Amino acid sequence: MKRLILAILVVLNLHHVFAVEAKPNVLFVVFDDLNNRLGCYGDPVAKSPNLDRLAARGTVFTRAYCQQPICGPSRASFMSGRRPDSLGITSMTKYLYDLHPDAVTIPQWFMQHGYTSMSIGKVLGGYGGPEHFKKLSVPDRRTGGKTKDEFALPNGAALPPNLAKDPLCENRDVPDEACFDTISATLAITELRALAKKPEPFFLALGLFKPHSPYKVPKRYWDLYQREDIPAIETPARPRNAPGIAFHANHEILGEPTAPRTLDEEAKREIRHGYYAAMSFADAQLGRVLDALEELKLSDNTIVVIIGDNGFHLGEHDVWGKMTLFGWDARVPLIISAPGIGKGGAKTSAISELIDIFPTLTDLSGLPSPPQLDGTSLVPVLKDPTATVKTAALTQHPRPALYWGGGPQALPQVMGYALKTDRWSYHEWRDFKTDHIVGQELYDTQNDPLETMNLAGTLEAAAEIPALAEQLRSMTTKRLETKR
Amino acid sequence: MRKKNPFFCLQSFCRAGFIALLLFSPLAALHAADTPKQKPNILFIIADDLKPLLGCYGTSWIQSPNLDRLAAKGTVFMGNYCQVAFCAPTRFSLLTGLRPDSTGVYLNPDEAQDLLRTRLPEVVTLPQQFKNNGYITHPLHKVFDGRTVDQGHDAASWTVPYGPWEMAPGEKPAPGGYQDPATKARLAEALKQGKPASGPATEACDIPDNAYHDGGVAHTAAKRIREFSQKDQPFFLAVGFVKPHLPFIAPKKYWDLYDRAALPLSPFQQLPQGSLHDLAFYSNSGELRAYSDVPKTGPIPETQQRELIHGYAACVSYIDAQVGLLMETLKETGVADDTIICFWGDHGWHLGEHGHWGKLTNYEDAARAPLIISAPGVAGGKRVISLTEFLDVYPTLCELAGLPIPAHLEGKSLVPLMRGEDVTPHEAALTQMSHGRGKNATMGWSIRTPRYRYIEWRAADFSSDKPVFGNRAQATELYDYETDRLERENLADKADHTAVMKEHQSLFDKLLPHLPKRSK
Repeated sequence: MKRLILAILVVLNLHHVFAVEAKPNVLFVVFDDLNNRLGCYGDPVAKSPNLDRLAARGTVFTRAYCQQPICGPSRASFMSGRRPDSLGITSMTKYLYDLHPDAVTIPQWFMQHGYTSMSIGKVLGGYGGPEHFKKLSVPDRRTGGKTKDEFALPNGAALPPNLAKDPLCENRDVPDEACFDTISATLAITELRALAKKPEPFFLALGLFKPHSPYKVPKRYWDLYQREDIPAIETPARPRNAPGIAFHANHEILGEPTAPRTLDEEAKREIRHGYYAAMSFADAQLGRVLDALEELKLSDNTIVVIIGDNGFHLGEHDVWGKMTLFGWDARVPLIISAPGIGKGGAKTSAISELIDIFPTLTDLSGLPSPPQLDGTSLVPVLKDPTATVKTAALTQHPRPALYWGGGPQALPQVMGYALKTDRWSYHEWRDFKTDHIVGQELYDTQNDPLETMNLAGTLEAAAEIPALAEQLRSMTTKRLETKR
Repeated sequence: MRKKNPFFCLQSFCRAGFIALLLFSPLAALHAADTPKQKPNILFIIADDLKPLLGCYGTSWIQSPNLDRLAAKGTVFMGNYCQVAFCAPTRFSLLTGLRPDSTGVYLNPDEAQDLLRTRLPEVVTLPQQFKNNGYITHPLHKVFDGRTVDQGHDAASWTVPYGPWEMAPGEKPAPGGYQDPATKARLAEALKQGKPASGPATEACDIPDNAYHDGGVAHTAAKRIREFSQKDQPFFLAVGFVKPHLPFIAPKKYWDLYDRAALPLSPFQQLPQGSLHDLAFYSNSGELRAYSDVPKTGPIPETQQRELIHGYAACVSYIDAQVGLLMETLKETGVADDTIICFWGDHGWHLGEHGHWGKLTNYEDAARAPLIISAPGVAGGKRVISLTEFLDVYPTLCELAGLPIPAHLEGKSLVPLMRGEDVTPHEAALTQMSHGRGKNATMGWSIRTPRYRYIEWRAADFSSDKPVFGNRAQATELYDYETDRLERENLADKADHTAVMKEHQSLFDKLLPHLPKRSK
């Protein structure tokens, strides 16, 4: 009997030791076009209880920046931990594994180090190229048989009436199950149940399509907001003295640049309402997955990382969409909850970039990092929110804002770079062939957080620019696209 | 502490009726003064020749911690423009609420006809409006330009008369504000001999703040705040600092805040291509060249440019410290939460931009000027990008204090902007600059739209009481600030800008309906 008890104790003890030393799981959730209009980022209207719940357990990075404010290049960048220029991927027609067959993404790297890795919904998806779908433990499941932008009732029944007016909006009284992201989240929960039983740790990436347009989500999420409570556009005008190249035709919301529609006040407010509703819908799907983590008792051994792939303008600066270098597009939510590290509910203004996620996750999991990463581990900041690991973030976007023609060989005419430091947002628009500066901007984000006045060129700003330009130059030395 | 009127407390049930009665009573003003104080005080601060070279306007190399603090609790008007880049007319315009074309004062006057009460005997000035509504009103130093008002600094505007300010014990500064013994001796000697003499453009004595004028003014203003805050009436205290106007004089400790070698120089020191020097820069930096150590002709050497910018920065920090003293005094006397602060620089200044040193142009660097307003009950930390004019200050302060807005005002209240409403008070900001007096003068009107500036120069005849303007554009200028923030090139004659020109000329005609119709 004593032996049996001893044996049990030994087993328990071993199990305990194993549990302590076991690698943590990783849940990585990517939201599409999610900007910082969230409760945990101080938005007065946003209803984001689940992101806020995670924020209360983790660290909120208030100055996190994407590397390029558009899906494909941003995702290729943070998934491989490399800058768009290092990859030569700055357009939606260039795919990661097409150009870099040897590329390694975060889940792939974890898989190579003993993890079960999988990806559900829109994470890297098609932007990895066809090869991507073969790279993980199970094939990436991006689609679930229904198109992502349409409601579909489970039994194929007719849809109730649409209460929204704008063509980009749809407000119908349908269950969550009529939406693609709900199906993705359900699939993630099913997988979590299976993964919880496996001895090896897991890396689960989940990509939600919302709050990307169109704003088609069930009525109950629209009903979370009164139309009159949707805040007016804070800075509806273009920044004073900003060069035209900083902008684009807003085609994502306004349609074809040749015949853009004009939005009246009512349409603007409905679209902004729709964005909030779509965010709250996506937040609710995250909530279901977090509930499952708790129910499966995985929370204490699972690192959770939440990001938006890029920010989004909803009329600020007279811009609708992304693809600019302004803070509304470049800044993204980044929340990291790592069990046992740091205090929950921390907020940090340390500058961070989405390329930092790769080395942060390897650092937290005790894995080596692949040598070619461009980012820096944020673990020092998780331990101490007042710490910093870098003095500036770099975000870039080309002009034309979308260059489709020419496929993977296409080159932009101009590349815009933004250096985001503690105080300044310094932008250079460089002719892609000659490298000549064709536009320059400087915003004092400390005094002018909404970036309303371009100071570049003035005596006021003359003391800043040389050092900022030098730092920007030092960060933009790699540019793969010119080599081909 | 304000006294409660026991009569009102007892009679509260019929108070409304009583107030109605009061309104028709000649004693209304008198009684109003006895009522519990409800109206906020106004601290009205002017800096002379201050361009928006402040931390809160985006300049990190200037140290202006107190104005930045004011900005954090108030609204910063980023796109604010003066009506004339010259002391007397800009103040005349703001304080009467009238455009220069309505006041007729365009230059620093040297003729009696340009006195405020000669030109506009009946006008109710901004401080006078507060005086008429039960305020204690009092000016210190340069509020109006002294050349436009009577000995009492427009006695009709103030309840507590204009008077001297107290300086630190010791020798008074020489004319120009100098305290350096050698300069003072030289100037005194020249005076004795009846010779003209001028001092240097800069000075940095290691003396207390109030050994120079503005420090003395601030100390006196603090004293007035202590007195007025004890009274039953609200106060409107106007404090006019004379820095950073030339000469660039400030105590040494403010110079020591800066490393001269690290200060920037103006990035573009040429004329705009296609502009006319004699029209656009007729003053030829004359104001600066009058100082003893500045070359009378030719460019200002780089070492001197850096010294001048250093001096200007030191003066800005010196003024900033004086504003800090006033803000502290408001806090100390318990009225900080009950006081509106309005801070403005009377117009901009070229610190070498376009190679020009001085004001007197229609360009961005002379026309744009800082305006910061903080008011109890209005959320702070706001920045307004909408185009605003100094003309808007008068109605804004009236609305903030709950005073009636006089019908003659030509500006718009900025209170909706301060409250965060998306309104556009002005399609364009209007600034103008005239050259010469008498028959053969010139006037240039400039309209600044969010993207462009259009300037039109016409003949002006100032020989009679009412100026007469020509109907022909002698010259036009157009600048696109989105492509050319530094005004490198006048686009007025460019074929690809005819539509923009047309658009701006019709806006010009709309904003200036009193001008004769433009002839071809």
